[in-house]
Amino acid sequence: MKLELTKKQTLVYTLISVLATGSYLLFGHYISTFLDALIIEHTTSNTIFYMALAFILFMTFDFFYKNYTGRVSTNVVSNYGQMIIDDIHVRSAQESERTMNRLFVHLDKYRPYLTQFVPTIINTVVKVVMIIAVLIYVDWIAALILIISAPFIPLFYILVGLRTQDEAKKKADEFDEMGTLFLNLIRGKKTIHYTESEQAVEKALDKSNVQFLKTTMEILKYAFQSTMMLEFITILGIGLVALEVGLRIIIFKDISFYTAFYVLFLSPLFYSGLKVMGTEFHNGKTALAHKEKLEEYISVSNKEYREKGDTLALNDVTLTVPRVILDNESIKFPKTGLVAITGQSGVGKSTLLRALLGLHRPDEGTITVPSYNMDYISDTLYLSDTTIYEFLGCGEEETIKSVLRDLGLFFSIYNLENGIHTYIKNNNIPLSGGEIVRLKLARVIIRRPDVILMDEPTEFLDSRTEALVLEKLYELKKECLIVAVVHRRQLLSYSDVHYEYKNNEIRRVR
Amino acid sequence: MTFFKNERSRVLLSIVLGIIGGLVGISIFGLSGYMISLSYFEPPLFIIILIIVVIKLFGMAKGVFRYFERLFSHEATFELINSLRKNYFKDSIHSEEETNHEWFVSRLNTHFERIEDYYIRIIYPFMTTALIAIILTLLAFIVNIKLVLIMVVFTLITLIVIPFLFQNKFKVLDEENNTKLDQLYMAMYHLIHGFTDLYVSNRIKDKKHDTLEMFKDLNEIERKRMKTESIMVFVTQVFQIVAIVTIILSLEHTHALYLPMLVLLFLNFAEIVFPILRPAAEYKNVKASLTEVEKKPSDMQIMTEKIVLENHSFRYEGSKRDALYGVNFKVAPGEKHVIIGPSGSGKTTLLNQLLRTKSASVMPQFLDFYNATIHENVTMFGANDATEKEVNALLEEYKLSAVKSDTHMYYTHHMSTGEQKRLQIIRMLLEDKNIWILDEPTAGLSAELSKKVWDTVMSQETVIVATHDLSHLEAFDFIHYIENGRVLETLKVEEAMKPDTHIYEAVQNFNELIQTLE
Repeated sequence: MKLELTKKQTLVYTLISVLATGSYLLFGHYISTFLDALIIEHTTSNTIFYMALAFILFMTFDFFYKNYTGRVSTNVVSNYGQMIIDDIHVRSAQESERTMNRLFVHLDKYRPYLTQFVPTIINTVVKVVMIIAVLIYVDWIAALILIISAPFIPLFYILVGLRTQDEAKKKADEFDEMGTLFLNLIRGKKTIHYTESEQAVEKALDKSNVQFLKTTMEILKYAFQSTMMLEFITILGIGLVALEVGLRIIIFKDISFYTAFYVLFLSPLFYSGLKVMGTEFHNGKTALAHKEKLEEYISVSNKEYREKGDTLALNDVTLTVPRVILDNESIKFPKTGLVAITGQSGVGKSTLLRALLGLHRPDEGTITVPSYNMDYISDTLYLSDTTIYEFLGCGEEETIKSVLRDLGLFFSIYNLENGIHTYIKNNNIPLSGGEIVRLKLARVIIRRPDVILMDEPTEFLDSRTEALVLEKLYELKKECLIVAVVHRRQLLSYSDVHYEYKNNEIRRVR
Repeated sequence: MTFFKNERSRVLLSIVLGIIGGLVGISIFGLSGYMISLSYFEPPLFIIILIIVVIKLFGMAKGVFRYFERLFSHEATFELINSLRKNYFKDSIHSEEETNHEWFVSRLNTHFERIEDYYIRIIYPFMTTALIAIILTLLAFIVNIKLVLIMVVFTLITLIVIPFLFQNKFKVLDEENNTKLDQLYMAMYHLIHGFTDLYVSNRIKDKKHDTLEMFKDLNEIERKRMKTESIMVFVTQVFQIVAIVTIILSLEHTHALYLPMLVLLFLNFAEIVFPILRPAAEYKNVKASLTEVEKKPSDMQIMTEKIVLENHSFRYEGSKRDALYGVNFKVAPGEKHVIIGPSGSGKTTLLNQLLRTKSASVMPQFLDFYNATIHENVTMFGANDATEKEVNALLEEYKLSAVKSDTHMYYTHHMSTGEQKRLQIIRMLLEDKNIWILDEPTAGLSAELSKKVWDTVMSQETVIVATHDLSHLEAFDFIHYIENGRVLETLKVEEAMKPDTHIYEAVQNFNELIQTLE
């Protein structure tokens, strides 16, 4: 597993670790010295002061280490957040749940890799190496015992890990799925209510819960067993060190109290480090799996591909979605007027409009636009986290008022508590379908783009609204180009040019 | 583990095991400290060997205790969560709360994860640690009263005072986090679903920038949390070193021989305190989650025997206008009614009000399917009887042969709208009720399948449909035209097809649309 850090970060982590561990080892040294003097020579010394000082140093470095971790991890997570947000494109809506999960689930589960795994691994490596180094100097036999027993811990992890990894992975998938049934049922509670099936569903939920519990416990058992085995290995090591120390004091009488105490102070520290490394290894793997999910996405280049030209035109354009929907087509649109495009649903009309807008790059050919100042009246609208004023392009309020009055929207909008500054959340637009169509039209009239692309609403509007919309479009087409996907004869009769879109080609009818 | 049937005994047992395990763990260090002190006073070798053997046995025992403690505590916790979930499910079925939103669901999930944490990371470790502290304090009486005092003060400060002092900081951060998270969620939703519109109005860059800033703010809160935790640990460490120095200074003349043991014991005890500092300080936050899921059950709706609305008005919560205004609607058994009108006129709202009057088979606007098999989905987990074979035959009939009765569905959006509609029709057929209420039954269906579905719907006894598809109006007994929340016309089919009615106009519009497309 790579640590995914820059050289500088690794260096800083290592440096602070060395300082923190060094201080802690020093703390152990002074406490051993102090106790040696007290018990063997019955003297008290001022080493207790140094001991406290070493501990304070350790605390301080430890604090810096954690803060540095916070800084580094926040930066990395921010960068990922930026990547995900930048990556949102026109097709994200189709996989909205996945896009949301990238930011809200996977990134969050990847975070422990940065806040826990990386700092712990570096710190532990430093700790283990420094302890061994000190021990070689203080009591080489104890050092030898640690060095010999240490590989058993990673070895054990590898053995157990290999055996359980596949098993655990399979179970983890099952686990996820069962966990979501509950949420799924809550989400779809209305249907349960309508079908009056509470009791049957409750039973199913119970069954799934029991299964869930069983699976969870099986996964956990593996994990807990590993911990228990590690505990055994650790105690074996510590016991051996204690035996070595005991024997050398009583039989060989060749070590000081200082050495004995220091060795017993250090060896548990060594083993706990190795144990932590083992558990972190597992956590690190889980976090990395989320990172993979984080990075699987279709990257869509947001670069402008349209060229500036005299008129709106398609030049030998091929479009795919990924099936081919337009094959090597060339069209030159007029400078002004209403161009109607008709065609069966699913033929690719909306994609064509998106390509003209700059949101769907052609596979071949070029698109020229007379101006980048375009607007799009879609047949759907999603508004959230915005105000009507913002939607209309934040112009002069007087102008907006007169346009709204003109479109018969003034009363409905200014009747709202905050008028055009009404905040809209989660597409909760306090307007009727016909009013929303007129609202979109209002924006076009206010913004005055050079090219208007439009998807005619397929729903029937009341005749008054329809007449008003047609009248406004008639006015607009004198000054700008309107390319409209048309469903209704009425709008078709207002058009200057009529194209029919059929079998990957666009044929001019009129 | 069938011999611990009841959760409570398992919780108790895991705490007891935790205490024993913890004490044994700490005593290992104490013993080794005692051993070296002793060694310098020439004890018989067998005593030292004995101590080492005890250390080893204790170590083994600690591993075993810990294993069972974790097993029991986790199992008990998950069982508790399961029953919480079950209760939550029962209570929410009849509540009015809008749950069909990703955000709601993800919030709920967070609450449950937190409660899980509450038991595993807070309750057990805290209780275990607190009890170990009490036992160690009592044992300190063996040494002298000074040690008892030091233990008491240290325990009070670390387990109670420090978490208490930091509690509010964590709560403030948590609240800030929730508000920001809500905002970010909305902003992301807007970015994703309103992309095209933001793009054409040149706001996409700003919106992305704002969203990223929100995300960064949120990330900053996480950093603050980490920082608060490290400050908490730092403060605790200050008390730790003060306690060690005090122990040494107060005992160096009277109990020198015990000091190595006591120092090691104490260092080890402090080690088990650190991991529970933040959980203890976050107690308040978790408590809030618990209250959130343990809501009060809502009242059951009372159904009547008739489908009647009289001068009925309805307003959505938080809205300033009535979604329905003075509606009169009456359906007698055997009648077929259709509701038409522009989108946003109130068709769906009207259907939802009718649903409350009498038990019926329903096709709502948004369909719900669950991550279970097709069979479980259409029979509602066995609430309605149907064999696998019957379900397969129906799937075949409605041209859904791509799936079989035992196919597992992952979630609703894996199927097209048309497929969902047909599955819902199968679900309704299996329900076998006399009244069918449907919202846009044929949206997303091809002409052929649309006919099939219309045939099924119209062969039911009593039918109420809201639709944009005006090609089957003549099959109904009554046509209702609704606009802006008002039913403007309720006409028999033969009256409706005269010029000057809203219905006639709508039908003209509709036919024209169909012709242009052809």
